[in-house]
Amino acid sequence: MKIVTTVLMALLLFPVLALGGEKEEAYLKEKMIPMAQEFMKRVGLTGDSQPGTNKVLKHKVDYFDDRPGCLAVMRLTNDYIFSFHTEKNQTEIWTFRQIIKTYYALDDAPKEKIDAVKALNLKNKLNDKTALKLAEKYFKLLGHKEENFHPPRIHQSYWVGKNDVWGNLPYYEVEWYRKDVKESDRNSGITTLPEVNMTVSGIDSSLLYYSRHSLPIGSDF
Amino acid sequence: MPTGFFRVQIPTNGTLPAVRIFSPTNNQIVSGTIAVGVGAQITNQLQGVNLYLDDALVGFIDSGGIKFDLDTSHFANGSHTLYVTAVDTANNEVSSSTITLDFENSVRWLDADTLFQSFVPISVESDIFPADWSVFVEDTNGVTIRTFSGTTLDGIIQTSWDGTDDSSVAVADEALYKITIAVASQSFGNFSMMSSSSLAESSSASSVNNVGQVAPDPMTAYSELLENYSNAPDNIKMIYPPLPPPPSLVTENSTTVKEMSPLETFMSQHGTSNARTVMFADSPSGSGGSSGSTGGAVWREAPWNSAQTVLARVPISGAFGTVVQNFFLQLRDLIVVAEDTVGNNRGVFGNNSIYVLQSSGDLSDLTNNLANPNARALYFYGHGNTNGNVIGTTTAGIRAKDLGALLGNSYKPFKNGPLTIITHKPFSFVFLDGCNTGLGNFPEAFGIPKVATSQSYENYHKHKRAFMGWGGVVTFQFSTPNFDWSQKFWSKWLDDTEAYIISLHDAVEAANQYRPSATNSTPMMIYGSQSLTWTD
Repeated sequence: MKIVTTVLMALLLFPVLALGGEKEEAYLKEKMIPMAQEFMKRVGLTGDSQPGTNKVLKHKVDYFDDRPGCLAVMRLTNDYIFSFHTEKNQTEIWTFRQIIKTYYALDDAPKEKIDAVKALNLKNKLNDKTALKLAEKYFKLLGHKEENFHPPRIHQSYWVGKNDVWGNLPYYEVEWYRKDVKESDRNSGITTLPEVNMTVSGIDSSLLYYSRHSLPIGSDF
Repeated sequence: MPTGFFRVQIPTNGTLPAVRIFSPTNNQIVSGTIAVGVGAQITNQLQGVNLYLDDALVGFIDSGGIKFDLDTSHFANGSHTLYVTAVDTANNEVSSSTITLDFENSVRWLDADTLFQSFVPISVESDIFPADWSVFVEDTNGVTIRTFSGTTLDGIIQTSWDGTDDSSVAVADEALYKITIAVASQSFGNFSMMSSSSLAESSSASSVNNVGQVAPDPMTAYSELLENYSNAPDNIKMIYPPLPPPPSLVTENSTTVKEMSPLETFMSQHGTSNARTVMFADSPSGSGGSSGSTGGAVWREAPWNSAQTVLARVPISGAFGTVVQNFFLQLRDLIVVAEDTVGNNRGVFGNNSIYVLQSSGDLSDLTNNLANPNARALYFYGHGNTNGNVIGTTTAGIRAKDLGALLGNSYKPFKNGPLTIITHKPFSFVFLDGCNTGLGNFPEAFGIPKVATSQSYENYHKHKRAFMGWGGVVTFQFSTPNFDWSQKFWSKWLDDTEAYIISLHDAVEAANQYRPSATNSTPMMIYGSQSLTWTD
């Protein structure tokens, strides 16, 4: 029992150390944390602009076994999650998301919860036009060039509950397909189309989600 | 959209293999719903014919006469390419020559979809403006259950049908509805209104009358006309229209008048004499005309929730079999742990069972369990046939068509109208991890139509769903990347570090990065909503 307690205490105090070895620890300190800091600075997420290991709730590094490189994920205590991709010596953040649980499990939610989610939309300060402008600002801040992509497509997020109950959420999803993607390929089942996706918040205008798919590390082409 | 329900082969010119489009012809200007006639002659038995518009799949037939009905009013005006491919039972695919067509529709509904749950968004472009527009919803008995209308000054019509009838009562689930959006120019409409009125006054021979409008007494009308004629000066009599026959010679009388439908009333009021001909844009409405219409049939799904995942695999001997077995146990545990976060009844179906498929009886058992209301997701690890329409073991299989029939998910024609997919038992997520599983009709069998854009899920606020399958042959053994890919996909999608909100697309991208060789030669296909998360 004493051993178990000790292990639990150690996990509580040093979660990072418990989840990874020295190599992973070095990757965390040298790559993940600095890149996350830079990312947050660029998109204006200033609340925890300087997260250290003490702000890391969980992290995991999975090395490729067929080439140098890895995928990694880091979750901060404020529920920011970053995914990293490394090929040889090049590393990028390929996804970022803030966890929003407000519309989880609405299938069997009580009326009060449904009403709360509906009320959430009343806080929305954006519309399609202003949300797109905001997303385009983040798009540029993260180093993408509009001329490399088709015009973006935007839609407001929504939730679906039981008995045909549904509603809008105060979030906007935007996607940019790279110029070389054919229109007809977008819904053809192909999973490797180069694109950038974002979700922005209509409540506080922050970036909620970012991902880059099938793009070279660090560039559009 | 496919029509017909019997298998045929149409010879072309005797050269094998060949497939061609007989109609329409290259460079033709088309509008409304067009019939695409196809002939195919291939070495083996014909398995199916696919129709591609601008390289995107827009229809397929796996049985019946080879004829597609394509509603061109659901696409932008201008030049489009069209070709078909025929697939035989050996999975050989032959393409026809590509033809170019010029779509010309004065009224277009670009994001039309065939499934809805709560409401149907209607976003229509009209070259006719300023204009009056009306939306008519019919049930399968041809009864107009809902009508609403408005005007547009710029040709943009943004509205929606909220799924209720004219009495604000929600219409039935699991039923088909036909929607027609009719548009007519306001100036033309005013003129037509006058014309229509004068006709009603002058001619009692009309066989139709507006609903609620009292039919004029034919004898009174005739007497007035005769009196006017008698009193007119000679120079006026010269240009007066010839007198109609007296009422006694008219074969129909007011007791036999047929009531106009709301759509017919709208079109007659706006100067279109035969409203029926413009339904579903059957007749060329013509760009720049004074009236036009678009529409389609929609299926209202019953409310449904995401639920439990069915895990099924074929037995594999040796060390690799042990790896697969252990992976399934891990996957089961991941799902059970995830259930704590994403809600109840989201665990593994059958009290955490893993179906090991050894006999045809096992497959029957699995199939029947898929029809259970609690089963809404499936991960199947096993064999797929060459065309992706059968999954199973090496000796027994489940056909996509049979499964679709059991679940009640299939295409169904609206009475005298277009086809639409109906879904009695749609699934949230299906991953058929076997050869060619992304090529056949299993997506439709699970209520996840291939011919549906991810955008339509968003626009219609539909319950998200997705289907994954391999677009070719995969090998599952040591030293091959496909099984690694699948393991990485699942571990990424159900990674609790990411709070179960990672999208399907991101999980697939991660698996691609781990094992790029898996998808280099054999693509992974996803149909439905790539933004699906485990929490959806």
